[in-house]
Amino acid sequence: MKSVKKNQGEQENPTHGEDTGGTAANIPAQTMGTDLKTQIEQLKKTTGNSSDIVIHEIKMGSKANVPAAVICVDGLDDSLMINENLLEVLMANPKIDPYLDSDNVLDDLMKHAIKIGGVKTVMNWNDLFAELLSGQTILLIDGVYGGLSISTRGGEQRSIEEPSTEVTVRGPREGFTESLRVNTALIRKRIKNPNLWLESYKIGEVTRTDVVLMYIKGIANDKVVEEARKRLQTLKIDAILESGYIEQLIEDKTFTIFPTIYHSERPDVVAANLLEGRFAIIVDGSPFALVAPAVFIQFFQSADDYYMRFDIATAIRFLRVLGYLISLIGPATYVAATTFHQEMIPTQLVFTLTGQREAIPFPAFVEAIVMEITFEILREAGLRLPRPIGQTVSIVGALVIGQAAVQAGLVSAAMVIVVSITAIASFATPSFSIAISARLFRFVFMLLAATFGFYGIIIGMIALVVHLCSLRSFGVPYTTPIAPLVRQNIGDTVFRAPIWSMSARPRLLSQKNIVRQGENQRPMPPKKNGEPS
Amino acid sequence: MIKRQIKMAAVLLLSIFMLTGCWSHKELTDIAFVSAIGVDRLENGKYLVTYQIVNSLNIPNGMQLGGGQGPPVTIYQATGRTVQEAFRNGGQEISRRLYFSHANVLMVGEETAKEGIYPILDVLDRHKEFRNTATFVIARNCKAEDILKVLTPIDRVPANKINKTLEYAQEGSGGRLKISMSDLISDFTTEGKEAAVGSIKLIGDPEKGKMQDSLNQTALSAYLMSSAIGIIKNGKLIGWVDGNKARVITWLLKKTNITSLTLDWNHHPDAVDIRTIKTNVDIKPVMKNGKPEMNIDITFQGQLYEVDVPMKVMDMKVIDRLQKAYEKKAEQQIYAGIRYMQQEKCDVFGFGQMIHQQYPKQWKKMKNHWNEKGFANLKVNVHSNVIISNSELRTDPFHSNLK
Amino acid sequence: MEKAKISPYQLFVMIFMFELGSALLLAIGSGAKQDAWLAILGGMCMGFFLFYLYYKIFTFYPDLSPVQSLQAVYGKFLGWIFGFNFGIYFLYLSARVLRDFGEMLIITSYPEFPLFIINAIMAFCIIYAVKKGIEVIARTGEIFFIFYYIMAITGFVLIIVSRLINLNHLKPVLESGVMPVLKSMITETIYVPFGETIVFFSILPLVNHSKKVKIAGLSAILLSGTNLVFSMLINISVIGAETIQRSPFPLLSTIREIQFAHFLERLDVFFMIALIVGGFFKVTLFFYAACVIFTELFKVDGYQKTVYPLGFIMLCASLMIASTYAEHINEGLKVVPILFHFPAQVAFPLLSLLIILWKERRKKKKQQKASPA
Repeated sequence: MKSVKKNQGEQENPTHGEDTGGTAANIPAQTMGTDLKTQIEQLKKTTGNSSDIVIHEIKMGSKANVPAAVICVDGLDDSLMINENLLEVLMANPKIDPYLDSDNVLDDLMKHAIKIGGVKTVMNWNDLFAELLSGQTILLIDGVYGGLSISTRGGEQRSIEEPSTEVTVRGPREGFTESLRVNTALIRKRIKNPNLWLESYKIGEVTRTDVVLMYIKGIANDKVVEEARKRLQTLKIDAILESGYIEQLIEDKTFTIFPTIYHSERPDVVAANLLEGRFAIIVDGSPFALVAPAVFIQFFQSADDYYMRFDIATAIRFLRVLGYLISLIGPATYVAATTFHQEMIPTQLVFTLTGQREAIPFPAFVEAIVMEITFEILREAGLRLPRPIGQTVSIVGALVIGQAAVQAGLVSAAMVIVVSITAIASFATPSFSIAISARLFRFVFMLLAATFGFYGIIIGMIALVVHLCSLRSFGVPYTTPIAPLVRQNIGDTVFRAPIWSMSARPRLLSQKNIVRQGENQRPMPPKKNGEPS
Repeated sequence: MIKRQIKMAAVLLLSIFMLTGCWSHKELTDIAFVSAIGVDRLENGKYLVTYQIVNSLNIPNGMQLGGGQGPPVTIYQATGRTVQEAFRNGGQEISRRLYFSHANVLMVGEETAKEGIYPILDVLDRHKEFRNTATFVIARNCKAEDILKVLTPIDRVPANKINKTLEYAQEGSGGRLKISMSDLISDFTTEGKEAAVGSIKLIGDPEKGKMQDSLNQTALSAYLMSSAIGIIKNGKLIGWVDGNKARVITWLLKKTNITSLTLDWNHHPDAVDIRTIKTNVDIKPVMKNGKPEMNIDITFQGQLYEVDVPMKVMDMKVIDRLQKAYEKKAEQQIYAGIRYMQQEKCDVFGFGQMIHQQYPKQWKKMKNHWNEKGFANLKVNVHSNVIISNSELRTDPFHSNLK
Repeated sequence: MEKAKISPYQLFVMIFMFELGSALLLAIGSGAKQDAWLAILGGMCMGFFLFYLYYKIFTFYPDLSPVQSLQAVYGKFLGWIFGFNFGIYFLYLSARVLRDFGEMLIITSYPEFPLFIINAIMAFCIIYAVKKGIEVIARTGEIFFIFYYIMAITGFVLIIVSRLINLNHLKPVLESGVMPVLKSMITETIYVPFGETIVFFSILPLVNHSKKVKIAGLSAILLSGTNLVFSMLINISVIGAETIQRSPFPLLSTIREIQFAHFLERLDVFFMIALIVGGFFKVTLFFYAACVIFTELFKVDGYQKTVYPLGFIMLCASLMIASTYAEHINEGLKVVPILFHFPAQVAFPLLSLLIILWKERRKKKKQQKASPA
């Protein structure tokens, strides 16, 4: 939607923001006409007399002789504003009399009388409904062609609070909400640069959801942005209810478990990604913003990596990658070691393990599968239960059931340990979508391990790496900057080099404008002579 | 069309995976862990192989306290004309598959060792399940089966006890040897070095040793002890070396670091004891007039461990005297040890190998009958250096201050 | 020819992984006993020369695919024949190396598995990778390069910590003179693995900075050769020359000696991992070269279509080329170097270079005649 102040760098582009019509077949095709009564009839017929569309018939002017109608949607509008600034102005106000007689009633009213910003004219039914259903107020005047749409958006929305899925130790506690305007404002707050451009689209034949494409002109790769634009514009779908819909429709490759589009609930993360040359897609009604092109290593980075110092950040990143690997091949390694390669296990341990397994009736593989599936069920259950019970059940479930199962002789204690470590390690990955990939593939690896031992695991890893290397996200190879090796950006992968040394933006994302810092940004406090600091 | 056929073929091929049925798949409960193997030769020429199999239920683990009842190991035996056949026959007795990957001890009875161990070892060298780091020992004065049947306190699995005993004795007191299979076979195939192996002796009543109850007393009826070093020539055990001479062997093989040396002092016998912490051995062959000689430099660094006579320990002159006396004693022992081996005509020290490495051309002339001629007449120059670095927590002994 | 582009660094990594592939694990040069490392060193020097030879030929036709450059040198018909021969050669080598790996896995870890299954799994993975294209293979190489090095360093540290290295095992150096070393070089190490870089002939045209090919290739051979020498040095120091001669996989015997803190023992799996990753690369590159050549020879559009049938042929061939391990090794040591390696890696390229140089000289003479004064 066009914002109020046009000189904030927003580009006027007539090809977007326009309503291309919808599948709702009963938007009247004819023009609006000038007769107020018929207009109101049409409106009522199209919306089926929906009770939340309020049609307030007024008479404007001090002499109260011009019939008009103020139409708004109850719940989507800011009724205080309507009452104070609109109805006050229009009704029983001698000041607007001269405008009512002029030729361009709407223009004059728009410019001189109505004391609310964001006013524009609507000349056809499509636009009228689009505006009305977005929370604007429509003013229809008898005898005047077209109407005015006045920006009175309001309605209830969630306040800005810390995002629940991306908690950081250090960093801002702001998260996106469901309102598009609030979200774009949160990003604008952080990047006060006119080069931050927004392009709006209405996607979804029935839902007409507002979708915004944001990027920093001059840093983002124009080809990539063009590709994104193209993909958004060719979407023909019924409904966009959440950014996930868009993600699944514009991603490069569907038949892969790895996500090629990153999503985040935090404005600082999105802003940082925009600064690196990526673009963001924000969908009205969803607090999750999409960021693309995404590379594999991005999913292991979290916001507070950058707010902490480099040594801690590096150590924690290593830990995350290790956690991912454990969650991927942990149970598979256990199964492979105990069924094919017993010589690998230290002698004392192998006797202990055997002692534990003597009582268990199942082979190791079956035990592993059963435990893993049980754990997944517990995890899902913990998510869906109401909050106070959910926590308890997960913990109690894990501990008690595990203990009881061991004592009943159904599983061995070592297996419980392996499964728990795997599960905990999978939580170490900051991005949920990548953790899911490990959770799913774990079973494939277990199957490979049970059939072919370590050979199966290695071949599985090779196939997985080949698959990873073949993915692209909007043209950028998925495994950048490790492969192909981009030496300037290698500092921000598994390690995190000190901030003053990361002087170049990711090369494949931003073709121009690569340098982001001056030289010698290393902090060098001035040398003191004599005085200890 | 062809594409579809290829796809069908691929699908069929893939479905083979479902039919695999897992070869090479061994559940932990389907295998019998053999912790030690003993080989004896019977009168009829057949081999008797004794397996010490770990009874996992009786090994204590976290859940069970006390480790269950029953002995931690079980003994099975089998005979066969070759060792491999004995393995196969052994498999007929046990409810699981024999698994040798954790067999850390390979024991041969003394009589069998005297007859020759070459035929026994190829299987152990070749088959991938065996560890090349496993220890090879000889059972002294008895058969291997007798030793393997004995239960041990402290270490639930007797094979562990054998390994650890030999290892700590080798490192910490000298005169006992722990040799791995790969080193043993390497010694057999290397020119100029004969193999020396460790041994284990059974003290006490073997019949009682088999019983779990015998472990329920403080003084055991039967227990295992590390014993002398056995010398192997041409695959046959030809003799034992014990005491100080054995220690010389382990010194020169660079396996002993810590040991204790006793000295007579001022006509008091066995009055001073030092404990060596570090032992540095440097052996170099040199050629003098076309004849080889070995220069041995051995440096001991030690602490004064026990002083049973009055002595002024911090006096530099006293320390000097002590060191010199120790050096002389050490050299005497080393000379005696080497001379003994020369009399036995068996180069266990690897002098020949060192000459081979250093002077390959001269070695070619000497390598025939090295043990009998070259080694037996080899001149050895030993120089030892003893450094007493400190005297622990006391300087003068309390004997110096008796009222 | 694929429309892909790979960077010189990716070429470097691929050559490195390719060279180390199976050479790290087989007993190359073991005929020279404790001087095996010298044999490998010598092979590496010859490898420089051979790669330079291939590079020189490449510089004359930098943008042509291998078949096209063969046809440019020998004319359409002969070029086609030679291209076909090379295609068969590469396919045979890929089947050979696949068989090598299957045998190694069976001997060391999975005795009960049928060879077909082990080879089939690896073949599926390779077909998948080759189908994805050379760029993907190159990127996979980069990732595994890092991983390989970490494993190598870990292994080395463990060996040192277990106090296994005994440098005296390397003596006496050159005990029987230089002859065994030279013999080992000429019959083994020059061809495997250093001469096998001829397979990169199919890949050199795809490098985006063709001027850097020389540096990338030579430094890759240097690095991989040094690693092989180093590895053989460690093998000899740990297990001794006599055992090296008797071991089909010396590195495995070395790794089995590692004993650390009573709990890290029998790390054969390390060996197996290195084996599988290295083997994957070697077979993949051979197979890729074969696919590219055959695709061009038979004018199939898009080499993705030839991957499946050729893959199947490779798999079956790997089972059929020998019936026992001894036969396979014998073939590899006695028949293959003389019949295949020497002509394909040394004689043929030399001949081709000579022909090219002769042609160039003729062209220059014609130009001189055409523009007098």
